[in-house]
Amino acid sequence: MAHSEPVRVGVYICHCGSNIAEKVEVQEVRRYAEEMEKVVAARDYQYMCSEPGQEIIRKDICEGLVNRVVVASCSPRMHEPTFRKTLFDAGLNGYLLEMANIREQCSWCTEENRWATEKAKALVGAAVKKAVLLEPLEERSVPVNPDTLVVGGGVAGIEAALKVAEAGKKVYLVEREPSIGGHMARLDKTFPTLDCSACILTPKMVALAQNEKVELLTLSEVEEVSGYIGNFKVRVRQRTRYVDPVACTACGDCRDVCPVELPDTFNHGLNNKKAVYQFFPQAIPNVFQVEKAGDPAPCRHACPAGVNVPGYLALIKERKFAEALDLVREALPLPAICGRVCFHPCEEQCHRAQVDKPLAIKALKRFLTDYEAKTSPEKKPKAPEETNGGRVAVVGAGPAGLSAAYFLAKCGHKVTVFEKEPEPGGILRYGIPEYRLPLEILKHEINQVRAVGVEIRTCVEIGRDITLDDLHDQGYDAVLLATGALSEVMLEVQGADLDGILPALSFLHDVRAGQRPKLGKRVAVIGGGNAAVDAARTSLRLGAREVKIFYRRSRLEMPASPEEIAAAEAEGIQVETLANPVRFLGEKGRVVGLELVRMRLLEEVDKSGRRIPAPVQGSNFVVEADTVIIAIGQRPTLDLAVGKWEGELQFDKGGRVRVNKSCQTGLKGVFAAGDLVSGPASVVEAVGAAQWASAAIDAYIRGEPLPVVEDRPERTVPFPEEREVLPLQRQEMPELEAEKRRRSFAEVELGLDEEQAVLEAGRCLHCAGCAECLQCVTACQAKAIDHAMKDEVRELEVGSIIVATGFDLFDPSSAPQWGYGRYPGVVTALEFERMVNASGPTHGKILCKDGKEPKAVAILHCIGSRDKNFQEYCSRICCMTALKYAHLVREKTGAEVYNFYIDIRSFGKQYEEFYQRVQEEGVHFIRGKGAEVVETGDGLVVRAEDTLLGIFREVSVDLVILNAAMVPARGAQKVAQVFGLQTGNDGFFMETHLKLEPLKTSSDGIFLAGVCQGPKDIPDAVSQGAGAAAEALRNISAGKVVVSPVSASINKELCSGCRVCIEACPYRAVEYDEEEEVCTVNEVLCKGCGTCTASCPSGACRVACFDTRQLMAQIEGVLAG
Amino acid sequence: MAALELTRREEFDPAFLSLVASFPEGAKIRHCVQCGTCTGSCPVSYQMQHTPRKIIEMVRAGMRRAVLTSDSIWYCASCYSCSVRCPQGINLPEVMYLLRSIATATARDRSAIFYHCFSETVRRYGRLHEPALMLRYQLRTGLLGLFKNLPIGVQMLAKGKLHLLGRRIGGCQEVETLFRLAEDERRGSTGVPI
Amino acid sequence: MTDRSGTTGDLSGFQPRLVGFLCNWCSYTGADLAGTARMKYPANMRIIRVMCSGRVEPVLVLKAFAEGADGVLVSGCHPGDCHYMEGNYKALRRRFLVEALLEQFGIDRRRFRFQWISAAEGDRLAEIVEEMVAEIRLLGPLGRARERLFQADHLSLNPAAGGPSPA
Repeated sequence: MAHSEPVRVGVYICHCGSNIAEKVEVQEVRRYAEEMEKVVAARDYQYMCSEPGQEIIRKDICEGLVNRVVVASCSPRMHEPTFRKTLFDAGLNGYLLEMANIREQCSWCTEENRWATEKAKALVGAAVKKAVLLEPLEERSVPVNPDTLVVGGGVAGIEAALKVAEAGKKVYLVEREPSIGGHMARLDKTFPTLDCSACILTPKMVALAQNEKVELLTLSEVEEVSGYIGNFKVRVRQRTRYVDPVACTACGDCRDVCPVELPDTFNHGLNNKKAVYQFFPQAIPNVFQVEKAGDPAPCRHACPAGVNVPGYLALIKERKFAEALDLVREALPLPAICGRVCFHPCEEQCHRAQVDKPLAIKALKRFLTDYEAKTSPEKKPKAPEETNGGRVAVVGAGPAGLSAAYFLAKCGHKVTVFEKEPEPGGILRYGIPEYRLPLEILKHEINQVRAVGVEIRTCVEIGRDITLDDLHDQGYDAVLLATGALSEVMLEVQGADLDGILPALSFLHDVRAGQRPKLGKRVAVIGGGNAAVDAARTSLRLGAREVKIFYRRSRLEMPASPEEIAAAEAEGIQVETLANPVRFLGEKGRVVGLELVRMRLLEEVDKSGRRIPAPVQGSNFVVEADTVIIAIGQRPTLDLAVGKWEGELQFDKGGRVRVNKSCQTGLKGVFAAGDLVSGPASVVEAVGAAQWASAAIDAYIRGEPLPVVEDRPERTVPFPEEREVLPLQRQEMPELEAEKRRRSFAEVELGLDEEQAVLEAGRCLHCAGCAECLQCVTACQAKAIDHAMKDEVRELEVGSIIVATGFDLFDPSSAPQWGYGRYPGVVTALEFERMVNASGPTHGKILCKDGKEPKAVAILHCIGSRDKNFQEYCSRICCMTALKYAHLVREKTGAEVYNFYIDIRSFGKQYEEFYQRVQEEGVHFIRGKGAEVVETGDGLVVRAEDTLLGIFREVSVDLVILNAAMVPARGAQKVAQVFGLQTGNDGFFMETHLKLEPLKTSSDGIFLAGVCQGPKDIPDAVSQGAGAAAEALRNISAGKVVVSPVSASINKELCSGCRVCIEACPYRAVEYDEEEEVCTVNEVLCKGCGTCTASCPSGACRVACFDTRQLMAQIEGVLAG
Repeated sequence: MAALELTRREEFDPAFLSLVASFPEGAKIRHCVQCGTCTGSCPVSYQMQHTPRKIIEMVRAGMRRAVLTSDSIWYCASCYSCSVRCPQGINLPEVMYLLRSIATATARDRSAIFYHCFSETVRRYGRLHEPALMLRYQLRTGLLGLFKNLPIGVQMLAKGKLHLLGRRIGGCQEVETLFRLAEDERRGSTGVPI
Repeated sequence: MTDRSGTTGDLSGFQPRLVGFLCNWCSYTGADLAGTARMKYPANMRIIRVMCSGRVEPVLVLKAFAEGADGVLVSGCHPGDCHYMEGNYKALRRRFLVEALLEQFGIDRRRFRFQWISAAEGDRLAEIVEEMVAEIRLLGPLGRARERLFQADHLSLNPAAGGPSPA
């Protein structure tokens, strides 16, 4: 921009009383300035910012002498707005001003006058050179949205919100706890008046709730803030309560039936609350909420069938066995079976293992079925009333087929299961031995499946007695193939065709079918999976004298469950690892022995992730055996003609059927699940697969989009570190003695009894919070609870924001000398508040951990404050709080009270009088900080020096109260980042000016109130709340605010359209103009940081007032001379 | 009218505080708020004539004689509990060592004398020789003490814990060098002769 | 104990001239705080205010050296605290570029410092200025660009081949 008239700079140097003048030779600087080019006047005055001082400047401008102004004085952060206004008042554009900071950054920080003066000259010179290049800028106003956001529902936030709302303006109050009230709601009495805290706070809380201008968003947090003063966009996440706040009547019926207990955070963990809870009796809003961790519990997450483990454990604890079993059956139709044979992946993940041993979940599941069998053996699930679905054929009555049939029948479909064997059950009937899974139990479970309307046809083999085409013709809408993996892998070695070498599955099949296969006296079983162990233990029971298992890898890699292996060894079966057969030795066509070779494990791993075994040359050895059972692997085999079904049935190399993510095969309408798809796996995995397959078939028949098998979420809830958990012995499954077992097929596991089950279920930590047992849903008459509710995200638009996020208390656990966390008799101030509060866990009685009232109490001041090891600052209120506790203890218990203090800071109105009163009550004041707390036989001892006496003292007490420092609230750093607030070294939010602007921040339009700005008492917090409201109302009342015109602009002629500036801008204020192929800056969004200017390679981008030429001029000025 | 000087002026010497504060460890005592945590943490403070906190205050007041002749500075066991917990981060054991140095350089009380006897004995023999130590000490503080300690001395002799004739160690020359270097260093930094 | 007497005690001898580009919200405020607390530090440092450390481009640093600065400081908000969100990260990226450039110019990279100073860290600023003055006094004056260019004709540009070491 061309200058229309010559530049005439006026330089005005302030003495600032003696602040500048005593160090800087003002006259010398003035003369220096006078000599500079373009300077037409150089003046000095005592106080440039005062009225006469400003008048000097105005006069020069009005007389036309000066058209650029340099003020050398204090920091521009102090008075730049003042002097800009001076210029505007005199008719000159306020942005033709440059200030030189010769106070804070010169006279105040320099020792020698000579140096200060030289520095001042340099700074003034720089300012002059920059001023010459300044250009006038037009200030902009933006409208102010009249709505306000208050963040934090403590007393400061409540006060701020009330004042704004009472002025008739809309307020959103966001609070992250379930209720407003903050710390003040937890206090018992307040100093110095000894008012009951809740009594003085609740009227304000109620007034707030009832004011129609206020919208309360509790259990909510601000996630993102964008925009600028008068025009903020705020994204708030309202976490779900899982309770409808409108319907909830706060009757508490849900709480009464909830089986899960979690630490009560309102009482600072002193006692427990239920998972569905009311935060405190005067909570606002007065509703209940359910606490869930968000991530799933590890046990539930690990279960392939997704059984709600924490849910049924919680119900067992409450002795609600029938409800617990119903909950299990929602996911698992075969609980009695899984309770006996499952490999319990849930137990492997149970967090309780970090304390003692994992929960015996499998045993508990079995207990439920035993209990039902004992108390209500005739109980059957109900078939659905309507069967308006389609017809489904399930091929294979194994765990996958039976489960899928059950689920489909419950959905209203007519299901027929085709089974090739004479009896249903698949591997359950013809694989797993009697001593693990008695037939009676199996039959009962299968009858449960029949009871929901499933038809099972036995002795029908697919491919032989019936074909897929037949099923098509018979009008089945869908088919589920679940024929399992029953084809056995045999060893291809010399002698494999000798008599007496049996495949394991067919051996087990024959035994289960009632036959007694001929066995020799010495049985060798080859393999390491459950089939091998089953075969070994079965052989023993059939009369074998010696049974050995040979496995080619090591113990670690054996797929069989460790309990099975242990049980086998207890029965006398030997397990030899790292041995593999190379050939079988026979006589007269019958096996008499086998030659094995020792194996070693290589470093490389195979597809299953296990180390590859390799033979050790020359280590062959021979073992005598007259029966060999091979259990080295299973595969599915299925050979079907498809004809009338559309598509193609595909198999992979292992014989497994290929399916898509909805369990559908290549044939339309034909689905597959279980071992047929996955290869040999477990019962519970088959049930899990059946869940997906039946959901897919149901959708398919109803013409809805098929569900897709989802990936499981990565995270589970971590171990709850903050809980104190005492180790408790695990209830182990009682077993038949090994001697009794060897020759009998009686069931080995005997089952837990009722007391054992309740005890064991009580060990569950409920890591994920609410167990979703749904008892609360049943109990709630208002039907207010809905566990499917989700968080809500709100986008608010406000003009002003008041941050009142409060504080937390310093945690003295990190300071072992005071014994917090080690000795039960040491509590913090807030814990004591809850104790002495009538609505707290002890109903207002001051009690030691042994339940008795203390005879002597020590109150320690300055814990974690005034201390370079923790927080350097004084926490302001602890002295008064300590006096309050001294009074309360005397009043309630008459115990001796000892206050260990360094100073008594009773600074406020009526505070000193309160101190006098407490002195009169006979409290002992020992001037000396409590150095350490130690435990002796009878109680606690506080060691300190009584400095007024100059002696070391040890005082015996029963209870120690630590007055810990106020520290910034948990998450304050994140709040600072979200709102763009600065923090001081102490972590509290920084105000614009400690003395004069305690509520403003570096972000215009965002204000502070309460302890988040620094430790303070309730009167000060309330005052700040009102003050912040005034700040907000000031802007709202003005309707518009002036925003800085310092923003960037782009010279179209020079811009090459490289768009580097767009990437540089964090506010997306730069846009690309497609037509002109250049970039432009949106002034409204631009905040004037200049990052784009620095990035621009062609110098097209410039930011007003910090233009490169101007900065270069400053650099020259500052280095001149 | 001149005010009556009721305190004993010679007790308070600001130069003493300046001396102590001129050392890095001593300078921090200006931050002391007299909270008493040091005394409260000290395992031997109950035995001391003046508690550690009081010693600091006495240094700040300039009570040179009282501080340098107190037993507190010699009782310090260097456990560092005080230093770890001091809210102002004052390293008290270092201050105590400093005071010991000053005491042994300038004071003439029994503790200082004992210190000198001890170090002279170690310097001469390269190790401690109890008879030599006690002889030197008693010669300077009163021979009566020798007789008081005679019974114990005889018992120790009988058990072979004491040797009448002192034997020097092999590296006596090196011990002498160590002593000299330490003296030079201390003299160089403080100007206080050792 | 460091003695903040203005010019590190010794007032005689070479006094380096330092230029500092400080961001308005954090570092400049921190410098104000040092003054308010009457912390004394050497007057060698002349501060130029920018709104954000992201405003500082390499050419400004080079200009300072060209005009005779013996040392340059660029200071912004701590990571995560930038008033304009990310400006300080952009400044950090440019810092590496500047250091590489300075080496190319044969300027000892110890003459350039890049720091994070928050609004509460007045003492940190004072400390940094003290350090810079002490270090650059040892490095000696940079000299005017003109003079150096004058000398350049006579010297090889490759230090390894016996050319000039960085000044």
